[in-house]
Amino acid sequence: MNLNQLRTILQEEKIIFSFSGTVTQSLVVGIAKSMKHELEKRGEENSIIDSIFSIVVEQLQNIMSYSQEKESQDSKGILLLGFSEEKNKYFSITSNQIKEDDKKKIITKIELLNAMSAKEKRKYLRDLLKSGEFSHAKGAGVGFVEISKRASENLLINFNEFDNSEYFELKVYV
Amino acid sequence: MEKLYLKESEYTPEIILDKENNLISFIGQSYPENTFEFYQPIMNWIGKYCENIPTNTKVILELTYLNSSSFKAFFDIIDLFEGARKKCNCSIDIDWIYDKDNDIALETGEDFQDDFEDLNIVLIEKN
Repeated sequence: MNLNQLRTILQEEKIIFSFSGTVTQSLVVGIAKSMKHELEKRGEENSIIDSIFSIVVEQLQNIMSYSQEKESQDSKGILLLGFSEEKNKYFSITSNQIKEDDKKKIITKIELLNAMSAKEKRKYLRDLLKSGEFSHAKGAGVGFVEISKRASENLLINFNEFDNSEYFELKVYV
Repeated sequence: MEKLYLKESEYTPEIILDKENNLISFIGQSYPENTFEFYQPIMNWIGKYCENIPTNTKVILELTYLNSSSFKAFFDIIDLFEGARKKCNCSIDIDWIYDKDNDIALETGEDFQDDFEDLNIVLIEKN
């Protein structure tokens, strides 16, 4: 295996940070912190850094809690943080294995969020919290709302098959 | 009631629950893995405190970052105070302290202000 192949892809796609493996809480902390440090070094604005921090934590914790909830799924995930020169924006992509049955639920949720204004998202989140619907759920429900609040564009989702398993991809522009 | 003190960790805030001084304080960031398990004992303590609430309570919330499930946990904590406030002749002063350049923290404080009108939540900018 030649790692330069991987390196070439990362370079071409303007990836600043990449991770692939089992997501754990200590990794979430380590990744989020080192990304923050890296972005500070690049002289980024605090508001951008805080948004990226928040999005990345939610994305990774979503992967973690999803796999805990559905015991059969592993919590392996891929995370890429990159910079799009075309848009002059950072983006964060995650991918993890999901159950085929959950595909529809995710699509419905993301479409709902993508159709909302910033103000509506704030209200929607608080209504969710008040309803108690998510009181003990670890699910991605609230996480997606938070990610979409911090994103500068609609959330982009993709589903694809790999090794006979279904994978969910979420791309967020900051 | 016994005083409860939790040191700040990498992903949980410093927590002071002090009945003797009627002080409740959370300082730091919060994004634990199992948020509800983490905050359950805190909720229990505050629930008990609210059963026999003193005339004046000071609550300090200086939370630089909350993940979505922590936002929910603090929503529930503040909800306990609002429940107590409605039933008592007492004052509960909540200081929401945020950094000048932390827009997300300011926004979160504003959300809490909007949702809990019976409480005196003051937003305090820190330089």
